[in-house]
Amino acid sequence: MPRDEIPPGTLHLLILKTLAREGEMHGFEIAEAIERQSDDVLKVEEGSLYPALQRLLVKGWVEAEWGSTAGNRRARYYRVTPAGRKQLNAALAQFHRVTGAIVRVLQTG
Amino acid sequence: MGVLAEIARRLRALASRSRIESEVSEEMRLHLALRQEQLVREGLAHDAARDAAQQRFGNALRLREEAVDAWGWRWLEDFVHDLRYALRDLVVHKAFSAVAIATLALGIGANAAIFSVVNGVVLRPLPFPEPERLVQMYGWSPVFGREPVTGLVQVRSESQSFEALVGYEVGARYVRGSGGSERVMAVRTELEFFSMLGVPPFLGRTFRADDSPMAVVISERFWKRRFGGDPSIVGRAIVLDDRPCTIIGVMPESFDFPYRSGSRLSSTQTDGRLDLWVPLDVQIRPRGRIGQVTGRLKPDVSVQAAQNELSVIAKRLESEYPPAARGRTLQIVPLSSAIVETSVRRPLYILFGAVGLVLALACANVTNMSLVRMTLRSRELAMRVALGARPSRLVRQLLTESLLLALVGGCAGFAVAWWITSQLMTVIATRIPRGQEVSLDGHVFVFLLGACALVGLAAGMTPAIAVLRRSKGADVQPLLQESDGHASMGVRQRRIRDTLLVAEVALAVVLGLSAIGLVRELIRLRNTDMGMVTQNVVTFHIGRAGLYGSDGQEFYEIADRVSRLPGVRAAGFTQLLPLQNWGWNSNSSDFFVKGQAPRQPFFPIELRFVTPGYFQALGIPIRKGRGFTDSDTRNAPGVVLINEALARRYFGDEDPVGKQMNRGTIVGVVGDVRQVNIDRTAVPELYTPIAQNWSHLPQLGLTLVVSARGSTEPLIDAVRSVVRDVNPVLAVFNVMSMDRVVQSSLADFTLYLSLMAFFAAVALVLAATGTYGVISYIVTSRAREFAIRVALGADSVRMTRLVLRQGLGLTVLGLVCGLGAAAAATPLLRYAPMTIRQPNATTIVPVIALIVVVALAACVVPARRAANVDPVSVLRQE
Repeated sequence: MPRDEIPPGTLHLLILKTLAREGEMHGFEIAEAIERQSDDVLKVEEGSLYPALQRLLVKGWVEAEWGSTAGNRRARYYRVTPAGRKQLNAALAQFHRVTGAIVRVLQTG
Repeated sequence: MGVLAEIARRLRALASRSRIESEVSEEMRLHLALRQEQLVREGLAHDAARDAAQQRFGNALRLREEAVDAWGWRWLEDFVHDLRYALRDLVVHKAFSAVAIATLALGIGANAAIFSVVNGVVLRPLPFPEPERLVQMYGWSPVFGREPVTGLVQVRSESQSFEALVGYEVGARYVRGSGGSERVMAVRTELEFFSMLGVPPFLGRTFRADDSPMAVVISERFWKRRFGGDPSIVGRAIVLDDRPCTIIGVMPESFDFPYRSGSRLSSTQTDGRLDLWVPLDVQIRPRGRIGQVTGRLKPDVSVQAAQNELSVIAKRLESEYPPAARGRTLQIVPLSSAIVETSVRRPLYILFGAVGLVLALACANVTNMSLVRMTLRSRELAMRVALGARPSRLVRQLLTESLLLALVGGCAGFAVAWWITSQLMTVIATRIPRGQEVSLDGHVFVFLLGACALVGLAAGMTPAIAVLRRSKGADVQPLLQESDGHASMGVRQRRIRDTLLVAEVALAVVLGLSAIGLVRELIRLRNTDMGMVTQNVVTFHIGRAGLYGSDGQEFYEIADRVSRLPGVRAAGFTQLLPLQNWGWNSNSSDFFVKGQAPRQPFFPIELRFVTPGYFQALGIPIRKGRGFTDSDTRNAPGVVLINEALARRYFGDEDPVGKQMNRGTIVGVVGDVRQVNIDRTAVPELYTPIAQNWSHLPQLGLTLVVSARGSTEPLIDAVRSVVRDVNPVLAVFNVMSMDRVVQSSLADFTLYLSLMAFFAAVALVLAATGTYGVISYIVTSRAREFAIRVALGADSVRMTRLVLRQGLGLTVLGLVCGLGAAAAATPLLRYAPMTIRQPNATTIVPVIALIVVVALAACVVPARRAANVDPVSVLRQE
């Protein structure tokens, strides 16, 4: 089944949303969650998750801590910060405004 | 706060780049391992699962870079890299770097120096608290223009606008000491003076409302000179004009208010600085006049509002004046513009403009050199583009290089600025108000940095844009394929290069014309007939306390004895030496034939008090009638002499000799003398014998003019001992030959001239190096073509002509543009501090000739290289 690329700029939004819903996750889990929730429609170049996570760290929207996986392996777990949550809400609101408008335009006539 | 936190996070991360790198690697490894395990569980073989995992992951190496870059050091690393590269480049290309840095150092340094003057004199606020509330008050009358303030007392009682309004006079005082008297510059002021200005003393205290007229505040300079900086100075006695006074405080070196008043009498030993302040010893009478008035406005009162109120008061006062003084008003101007008048500001701005042109030239030159060099480097640049360097990276690198160049040039420029400023300071400290406040301060430094950045960007932008344009699209290929290693410039670059060169020549023409115009003007001024003979004439200032009201007999005695000294032709006194009475005036409009009504309109007449020998000593001819004699004494009938200007103005064709005037009988007419400055034709002047005007003898003292048959040098000591012999209390100071007096009256002019000449010389050098650079580039890049021409039989004369034609073509174009620009800028000459005639053939021809010669010289070396090209070796290089 062909998969569509993630529109540019939305990867941050997807990561934040996923973390906000699921709590703490490491990178692989985030990738899995995004792909699962989009019914595999969205194709993530999985590695691009990591630069994105670093950017979110720089912005202070997520924080990270090293821990152990179920299989007792060292992994870095990410969590949304309050600033990240604020950003997520703002971004979601904007996203809905824009997509809503686009949908309205497309459905007219 | 978000931004700050972000910066903090980035900075922390900066210290641990490798840690971030390894952490990200670890995360990625885990991701790959987990994915692989998952795929194995789904049934893939171990190796296939690994490949699939990697494929889904993407380019791990690039992604890791990207992840680390998220922390934002990319630019920093690039910058360090660029900087290192630029430095290496700077060192490798020594000739280019040296020329570029020297060029920029001159341009930036000269700019910073002139800026330091503009900054210190014009831009920096006055060194008083809330200086914007300080104003200067002037009287103004239709006859005399600006004049002392009349009615200060009434204004003070009626006006609501001022917090304080203080009158003062600048004058001379005599300090008695062991080695005779010394004349010092003193301000006699009302007691609120210091509290109004708000400047604290350096030692002791300033005036209080209950201070007696015997209190004295001295300047730091005077304190050091006279008292050796004695720390226990406060409370010490000082004898001023034979009266014992008490020193109550010392003002700091930086305080010199009223500015420049010391040099009004351009002849004190004080470098034009004030020595002391004493309380005004008489109350200003209700209708009395006071020389100068400074005030502090109440907070929130605008200058305009205060002026409006003042005009109303002045209008009412005017009705009480005698008819000759009708039309009198009072004006206030912000103190800052009163101190630094337009006549000072404008020339400064013109200089600033001129030096700005020099910087523009330097900039054009460096741009051109970079452009040429970039062309030589175009293969390297093309290679880098081909290898995947982004154009923005290349642009950044080029900008880094030119900024570095500008910065190094700026550092050297700082040294240049320091040197020029220290040279300027020796001249302007006493000539320009606030001149002593000029320094290389933080503002100058910021200006210098700004100039560096501007120059760096300007000089780097053009080559950078050229790179951008070239790297776009497919023309990397041909660049790489060019076989001779020197790519040639594109048409566009060539056009930029030629335009810049033409502009350089044009700027050099403009500056050259200005400089030579000034030189011509100086020659004209020096050859002006001043109406007097200045050769072998020496002048002495002589004065003492208590002159006011003495009969001046001692001066007659001195003049008489000096004129009988061997080697002396004539000697006489005047109260105002021609060309030295800067800012000092003594005039009146009160002049009419006895028994007749005063003739209207009134006009100012300069009053001169002299002894009989004065005219002969300065070689001023008696045109009609007779001069003064020793028998024109205090008790003899009053006599006056008038100059030709006054005779013409008042009597027209009528013979004035013998007319009975209110000031005495006109016994003769003397020649006109350039009194105010060399360039101002004589104003109406009225001479009276000192003996008949003894009540006017000024505190400032008188000037003795001695003309000698030969050198004046041996006479000086003899004159001094005559003076000592006549009255040991008399102070003799500021002995100066009349030629020196003339020269220093031109000092402002000479200063502007030498600066302008300096700028023009720099401009010429820049234009020459610019021409040289461009022509030698042309020769280099066309070496192959030249070799072929020579191989085909072109002789060296022909080759030389070929190159010269190219260079001179650009020069001639520059000359034409420059002349056009100069013609367009001629109206600006009105703002120059002196009259400058428009450029004409005698100024234009030498400038053009010089520039052509210089351009020729700059072309000859590369032309010879072209002519002597060895076709075999050049073509073999291919």
